[in-house]
Amino acid sequence: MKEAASRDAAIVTPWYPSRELPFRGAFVQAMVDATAPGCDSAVVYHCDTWVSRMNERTTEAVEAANRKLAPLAVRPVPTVGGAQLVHLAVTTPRAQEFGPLARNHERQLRAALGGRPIDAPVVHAHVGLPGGWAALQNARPDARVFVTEHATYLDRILAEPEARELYDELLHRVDGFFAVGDPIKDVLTAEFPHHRDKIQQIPNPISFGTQRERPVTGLRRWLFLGGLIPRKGVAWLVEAFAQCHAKDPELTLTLAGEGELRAQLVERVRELGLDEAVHFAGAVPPATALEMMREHDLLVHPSRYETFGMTVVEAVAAGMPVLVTRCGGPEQTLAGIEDAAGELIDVEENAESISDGYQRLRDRFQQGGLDLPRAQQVLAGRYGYEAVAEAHYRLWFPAATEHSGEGLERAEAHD
Amino acid sequence: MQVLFLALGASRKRAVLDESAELRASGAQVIVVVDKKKSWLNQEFAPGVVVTTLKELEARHLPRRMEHALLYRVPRATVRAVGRGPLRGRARRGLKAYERGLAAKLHRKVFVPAHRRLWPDAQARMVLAPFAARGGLDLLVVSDALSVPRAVRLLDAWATDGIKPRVCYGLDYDVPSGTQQARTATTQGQR
Repeated sequence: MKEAASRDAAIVTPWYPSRELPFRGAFVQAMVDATAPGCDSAVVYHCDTWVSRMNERTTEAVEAANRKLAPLAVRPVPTVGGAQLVHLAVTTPRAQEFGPLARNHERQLRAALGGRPIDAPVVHAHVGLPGGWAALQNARPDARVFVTEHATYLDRILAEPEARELYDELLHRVDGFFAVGDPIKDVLTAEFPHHRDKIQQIPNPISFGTQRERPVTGLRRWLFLGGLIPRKGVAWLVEAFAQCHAKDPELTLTLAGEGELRAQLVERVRELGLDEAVHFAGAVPPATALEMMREHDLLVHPSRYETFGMTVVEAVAAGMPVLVTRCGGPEQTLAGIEDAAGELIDVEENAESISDGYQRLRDRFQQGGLDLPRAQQVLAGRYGYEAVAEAHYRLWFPAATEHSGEGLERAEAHD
Repeated sequence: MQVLFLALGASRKRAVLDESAELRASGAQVIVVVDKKKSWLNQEFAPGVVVTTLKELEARHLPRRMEHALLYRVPRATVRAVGRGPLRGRARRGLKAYERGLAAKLHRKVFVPAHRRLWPDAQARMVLAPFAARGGLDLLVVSDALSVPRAVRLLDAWATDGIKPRVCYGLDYDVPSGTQQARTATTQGQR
């Protein structure tokens, strides 16, 4: 195995919180915050996909212009964990397929680097395509490249022949490949059984550093955090809330996020006469999201599919019970502490599964049936910054960490 | 600070609104250049943020104002003076037909190309003009993909006059001149 000469690391990611998309890549930022302090230096390359409606000729002209602009516009700025952030705009035509998109990121990162490779012995990329591919193609020859996959749309990526081919090559060439949860690992091992041994699992890190001032005393102030899109089950959430609100008019619901369903949801809330009880907060930055968790009583997360379910773990970390669907990630992240943290419900295309789940959870909560401190302790051991960072260091800098055997078991990479 | 946003593609509106509002709140002079104002009709810019188009800025160039006077203002004044009483309706219809049929075509097909040939850097100069009174442009924020080529053309034109504002892809990625980058940010405890 090649060995890193220093503890310098570079991170390549298409997702990182920004003004335009404050939510996107919060988990990448958390990973940087967790891992950068243990590195001599860490530089984050945020290859921000800037999509516009462009024909082929315009796409080429814009990319050529961006090659001239990038040297003037790209400068490192401080980000979390003492790392430096290098933000570059990857100009992209609408609906570009995943293969061409990966090559686009590769080209534009190279241009921003002035044609030189990324100067770090360890490169950690997020999202196989485009992030992993761009990192692999721009890493220096002796660098060790690791990729963490989070994408919920892996099936769409792998349905494209060119993207599937690039993904296969990526898995072949990287030094380590991490899925953040079983759903992603299952998809990849089924698609690429010949890479089964390389696909490991390291979860996203969660901060357990800040607690709410007063513990939750009643489950009245519901909170939803995420995109207002069909996959998140928000339409059923509004219906379920209406059912529960009819029984307890003191209930409120805050929906923090934006998405294609917003107008439809606003209209439905009006039809239901719930304008006073339901608040649309819009997209909020990560810090505000955490504050909101500490100001509400219950996270309701009725997603249809999640690869990890970071919001759910964050809510427990913020001292908040959760009502969450078994949609892939959450049943894994909450394994063994389901009843201590809240209530898991099946993914069903109806509102009753959510409202019935709420009634059960409320009854258990009133009888003291939850144990949030225990849930927090267990989750910190699995997903806390230290645990996740240590799991990465063992792979990134094996010589330096081979004698420090204190990492927490669940966060370690495992097959 | 004097800041120009190029937001011609209108594809990253939230960032433009948020960043321009923050700058305005800190006392900066902020101009946002868009392609079509109607693309931003439902968006609310912070008070004091000036939203304009390249066409509007270019139209402030003296030759273009003279052209406008010649093609539009003089005929309108003439019609107002002559078209009284029973001639009023006919004069107005004639003016409308003239503006649509002749003036607009002359503007598009003759004056604009000639203006750009004779004063190729007029647009770049007129974009800078609103900042001149207070010491010039400090920062150019390129806000979307379709603004990139225009930004490069403007910077090239300004460079010939020795004008080199800072450029960035967003306010959070700007490094003010002379600023040390040693400050360490952290969101430990944040999302």
